[in-house]
Amino acid sequence: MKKAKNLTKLPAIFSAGLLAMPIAHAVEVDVSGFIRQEMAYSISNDQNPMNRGSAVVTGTLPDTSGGPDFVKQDFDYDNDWNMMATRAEVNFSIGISENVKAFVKVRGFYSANVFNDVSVESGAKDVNQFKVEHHGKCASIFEVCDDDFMIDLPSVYIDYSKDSLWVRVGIQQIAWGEAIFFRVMDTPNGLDLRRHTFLDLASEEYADERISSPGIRVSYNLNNNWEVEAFAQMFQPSVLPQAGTAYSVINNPFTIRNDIGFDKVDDKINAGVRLVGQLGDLGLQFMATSRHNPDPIFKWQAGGQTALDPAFAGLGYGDFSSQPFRSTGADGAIGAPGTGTLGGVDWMTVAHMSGVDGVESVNILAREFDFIGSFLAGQLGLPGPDYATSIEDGRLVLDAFSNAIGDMEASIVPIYASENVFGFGANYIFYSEPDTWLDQLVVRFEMTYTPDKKFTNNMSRNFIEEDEWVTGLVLEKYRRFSDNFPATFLVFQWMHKSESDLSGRHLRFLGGDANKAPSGGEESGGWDAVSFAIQQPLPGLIWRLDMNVLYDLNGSYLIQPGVRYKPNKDWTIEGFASFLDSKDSAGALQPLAWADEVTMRLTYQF
Amino acid sequence: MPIHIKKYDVDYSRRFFLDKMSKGIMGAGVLTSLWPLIGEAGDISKAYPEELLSIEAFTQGKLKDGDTIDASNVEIVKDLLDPIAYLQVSQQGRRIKLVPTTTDATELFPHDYLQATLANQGKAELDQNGNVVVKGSSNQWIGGLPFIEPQNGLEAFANITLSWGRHDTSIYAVDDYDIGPSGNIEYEYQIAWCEKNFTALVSNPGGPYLEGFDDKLRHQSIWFTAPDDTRGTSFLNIWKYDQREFPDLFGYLPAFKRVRRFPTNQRFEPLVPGITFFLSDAWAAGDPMLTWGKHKIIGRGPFLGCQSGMWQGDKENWSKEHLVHGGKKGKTFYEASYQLCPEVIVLEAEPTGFPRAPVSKKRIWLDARNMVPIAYVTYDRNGEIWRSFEMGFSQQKQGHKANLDANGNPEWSWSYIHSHDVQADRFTRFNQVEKIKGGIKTQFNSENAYEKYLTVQAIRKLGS
Repeated sequence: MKKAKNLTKLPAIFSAGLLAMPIAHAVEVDVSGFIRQEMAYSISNDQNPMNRGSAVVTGTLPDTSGGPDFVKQDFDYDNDWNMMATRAEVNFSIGISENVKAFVKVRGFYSANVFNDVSVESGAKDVNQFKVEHHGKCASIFEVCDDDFMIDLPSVYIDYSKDSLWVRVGIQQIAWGEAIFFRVMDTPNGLDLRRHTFLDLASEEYADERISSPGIRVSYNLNNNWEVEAFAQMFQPSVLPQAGTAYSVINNPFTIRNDIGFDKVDDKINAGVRLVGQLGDLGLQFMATSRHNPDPIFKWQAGGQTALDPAFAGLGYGDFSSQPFRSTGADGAIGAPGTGTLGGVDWMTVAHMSGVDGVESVNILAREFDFIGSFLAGQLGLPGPDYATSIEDGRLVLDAFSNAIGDMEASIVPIYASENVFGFGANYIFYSEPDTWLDQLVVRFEMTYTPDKKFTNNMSRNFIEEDEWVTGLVLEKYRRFSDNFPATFLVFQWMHKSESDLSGRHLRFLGGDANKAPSGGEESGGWDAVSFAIQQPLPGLIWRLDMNVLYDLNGSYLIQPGVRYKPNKDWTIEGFASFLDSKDSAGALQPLAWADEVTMRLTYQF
Repeated sequence: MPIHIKKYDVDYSRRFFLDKMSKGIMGAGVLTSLWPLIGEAGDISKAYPEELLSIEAFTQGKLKDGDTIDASNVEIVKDLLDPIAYLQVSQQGRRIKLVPTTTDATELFPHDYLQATLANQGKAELDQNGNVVVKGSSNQWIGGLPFIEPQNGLEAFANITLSWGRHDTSIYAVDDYDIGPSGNIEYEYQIAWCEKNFTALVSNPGGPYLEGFDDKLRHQSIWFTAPDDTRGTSFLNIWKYDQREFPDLFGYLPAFKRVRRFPTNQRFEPLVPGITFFLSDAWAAGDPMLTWGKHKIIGRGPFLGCQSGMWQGDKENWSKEHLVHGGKKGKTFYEASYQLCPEVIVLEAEPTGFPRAPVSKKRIWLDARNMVPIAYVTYDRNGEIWRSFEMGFSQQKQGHKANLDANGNPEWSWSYIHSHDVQADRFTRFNQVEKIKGGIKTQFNSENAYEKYLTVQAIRKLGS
């Protein structure tokens, strides 16, 4: 089995860094780490609708273009386990001199073969969970990976500090802002969602997901109250769960061409500066980042299936291969026959689940790819520029396409748009009469403004470009309800985004289904969500109870009760359940609404 | 060896202290005033009769220096122990070694702190808000014990609050062991603690105040360097000089990868699983003193406590493992060296600023010689005894070995802590060690501690 390797640069870079530092005394190395078994068992009758083995649309489907009904095979795949993984992390803390220290974290993650998608040709198949064509075949720059494991270096950095100056050079995570889970000012890094998406314990926030990259971070204390900080970091995109894996959010017939999208920005540097300080009792933050957004926007890519060019040459619409779709039944397809999208119902359903307007995306295909525009006008009598004006028109187009070439697949290209983000944050602790709800209530507020932010526009090459405001309000309170128990930690958060939802999908295209166009969310003034978290330690902190609730006002929610037991220094046992649902495709959590599960984690540290 | 007049028996001392309390006389010393003796030569012998300077005399020969207090003889000194120490010895197998009473006061202080105490005696007063100021002014305190002969409970608390470690800057490397009801060590942590005063400085060439920190008393941080799941967890407390105000609290939690500001009123809860140490416990004065109320002096008299002989400079990393004994598995207590402390001031206070605190009151035994808390217990809301926080102090000198300050004087500090939750039967012991993981070493008055450990930037850097 061929393994992708990208570690060749690491020893040279790290050694060079160490050698550059003055060695004042013996180097001291402390080693620590843990090994953990992580298991997530599905407690829902639902399966991931994006995977072929449990596709949301199957069976007999009508063909409105006049042909016989389509039949999409229902594999009715049933995976009980969403995750069965073994994780090991080893940390090396290295003291080099009084002012120079280094830190290295090695993370290994092995995913056992408990989750399968279907191979149309041969039944169950193992899935690729980790290979991503960013750096070679892996996601991050120093990573070894294969279908079922990854070993990477989340941290390899050297700290230099002297007086008011602190410099961190190397692979590192950078987290900004004070809101938890809701990412307002937390703009420096993207997220790696390949392991357990964001369904780890919510109170851990994105500790495991925030994806690191090489960079330099400099902080300087201007005086006793104000600190200025800046970073410059190699661009590293977010990583979505891979197609066909347990938590995939990309419909199976669509391939993300990371190789093409990332190649355009693989030498880019994200940079930011912030000012943090205290003005009396008021804590303040001001930040600005200039970055390529690590969260991609998508556009169609020409399919390149030349095998069908001769078949369509007589129509005079141009080369079939110049448009995005490929027939899975012809040479040049990536997937096997029968794995693709079949007909208008399938198209509309999945498009709307993905935050894409199924009708408008047809029009964009027609406008941007001459072959399709000509096909719609010539074959279906739908002239442009608004070729399809209704769900029925859209279904007709896709039915006709499927009638012509069978089930289809396509490739989309992730684009990492450049943008500037400006932010402001404040925190204040209210003091009032002891034992009142206002006493020592922490209020945090954050706000960012991104001018001309780009959003996916139904896979068009012409992206939506709008200013986006993101605000977050956090109320935190420790409250002791009983003499016998430690204080309960209560957190209420509210997040508002003016243009997009939690994962950055533009509101304009949310809320549709096979029979209904998107209702959008702009009319209601943006996207809002609230979260409420309760953390109740028991005496001695040996047991801790958690309850986290995220409610998206568009109608989706995540409820996550959990318990943590730490009986001794060596062992930690955690269990938590995640309940998700969404009333329709407008919900931000709709892509994982099926994923009710119970997670257990057993950790041994050394 | 000074000669002591034996006409003063134990009853004389007891009657003397009762009389002193009833008359509200707060000066230290029995035969003569204590502090003039300390000021002259540091020898306190003439201030107390022999029965208050010798356990052998006090117990009329039943116990002597070098003996060990255990369950077989603890009844003899029951009245000289706090109730939890008595419980530990009488029921849980704890042993305590008796050592001579320290009569040279220079062995009970860091050098510079004692000099400042002597130089500034009589110059402190409480202002109308209860904060310590230089008499006749609104200036913040200028260093050393503000009240060598405290007239009330609040003045006594000021002595242990304004300068915890009695150095301008202290960095403590701490090995922590947490023993569960089974008697086994269930949790272990390596803890670093740094505190730096900005006022009441005693070793600063520039004087008692540090420029730029006008309204602040100190910065103090605590961070964990081991084990793995707590490594990098850091908290920074910024104390205002005004003792009516709560400190500002900033924390770095590794999961969040960033520093966040936290409420600061939860000071009666463990920071990490299994430990029985609370922020409120530090130096028996872990909270600003005016957030507590009803401070009062409730008694005076002799007591047993640890004031010497606990620094293990000849052991690797100042280990006290050879002293561990007792409890269900023989892993609970350090064998501490106790001496007869001739005069303690017994204080009480109530957490009036913390209406939902699980504590109803604390009781502290302050050694009148150096005003350190040699015993400290708290009571729950039902008035039942709950926890003890026993600090053992020691000059860092052992035979020919010594940890010296910049001027060649032996350092002085706390050496161990026993923190015992008797209701849950959980026990924590701290040993101040030379160094812990992360390269943190016990140091006093080290340069750059502020930048390295005591800013928001610093605790972010300490996390990983």
